[in-house]
Amino acid sequence: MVTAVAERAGEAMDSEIIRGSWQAPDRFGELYHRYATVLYGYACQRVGTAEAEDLVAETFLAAFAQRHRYDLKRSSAKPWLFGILTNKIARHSRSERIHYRGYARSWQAPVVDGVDERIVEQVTARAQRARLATALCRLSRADRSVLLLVAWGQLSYDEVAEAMSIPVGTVRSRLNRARRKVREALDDGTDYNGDDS
Amino acid sequence: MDEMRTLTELGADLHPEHGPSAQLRARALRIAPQTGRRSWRPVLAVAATVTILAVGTAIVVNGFDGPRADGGTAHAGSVRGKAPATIVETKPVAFTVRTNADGSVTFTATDLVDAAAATQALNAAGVAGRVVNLPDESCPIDSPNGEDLALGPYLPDKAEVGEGQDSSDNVTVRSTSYPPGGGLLLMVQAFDQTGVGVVVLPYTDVHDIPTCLRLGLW
Repeated sequence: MVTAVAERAGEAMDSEIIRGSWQAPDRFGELYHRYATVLYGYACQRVGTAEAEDLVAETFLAAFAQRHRYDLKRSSAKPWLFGILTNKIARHSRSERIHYRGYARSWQAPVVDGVDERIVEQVTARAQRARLATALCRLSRADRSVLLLVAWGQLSYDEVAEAMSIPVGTVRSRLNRARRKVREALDDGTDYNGDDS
Repeated sequence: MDEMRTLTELGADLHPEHGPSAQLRARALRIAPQTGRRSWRPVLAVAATVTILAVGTAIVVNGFDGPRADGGTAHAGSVRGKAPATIVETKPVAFTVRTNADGSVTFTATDLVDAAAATQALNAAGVAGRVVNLPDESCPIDSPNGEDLALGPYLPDKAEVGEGQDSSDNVTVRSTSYPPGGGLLLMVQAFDQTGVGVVVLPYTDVHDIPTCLRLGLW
């Protein structure tokens, strides 16, 4: 985790940076250095590269504007920033679904000669990912966000709870529900072309 | 097959090959007040002010095609298609200022606005302050080489924001959002893909509000 790295390196905690930015606004740029790339990567995964930069820019603009209200007891700003970004992404759920369906449609089962097991495994795995991309569209926004914050954002349950302002128990229940639905979609085994709307 | 492992693999497929562009940093971080403004007041005054102020703040993400037709108890300003008066680059004017039944004023932008007209409408609705576009390329640069921008304040310390950042698609403010003699700065920023953002910052002295803003250097 970025904050853990900062601690080891003797660098300022995120909360210290934010506190410092109250009087020295330029310090907020240190948070950008720490989190811009990971937030951008996550935004790309969810909505694609075309919109990711806009959302990350909006996220930092909003974070800066809200920095005086940041709870300084929270040493890591990662959940806070992911929470803002998640809210931004929620406004673009249509783009997100189009993004996933585009991925699903981009895959077509190749014609494979012979029975090379490695190729068969690769084709099967790619088919599963296409199926999963389509399945994500079926999840509610809240369930999808919890699932992807854990899987792609690498947030802990506690961090997801903080990011989404929900109890940890709700995180667990949403995650369980999302995983079950995704698992059912994968077990279904039918071919997907992304047209499940 | 384990769904989480497949999800991780899918995430790897969707992850970008490259990081964000160099331009993102400037867009995400840098707002430098420019000429036409007064010097910032002492920090002590700032600290006292910050604890008092709370105002609704919102990023307005493009959700409207034009001025609202449903109006309100009063429609203080609705201008569209008029040439901007204070910015060099011509932009369509797209904002509404609506006075609500409870006395609050809702400002909605769908693009960079005619800042002078928007400010006039805002003031006419009873809210002191100014509307500016970000960036405004006609905004003069203080220093010939721009270095002062890097050293100068990002935002005035006396500016503070409140609730509503992510929960509303328009900005609703009140004359009680700032102290007597103060006012609001409404910054309108256009994004390539996701529409328009408006951030509200209250000032304790209306004369301290910048007349224009531009993306600075860092």
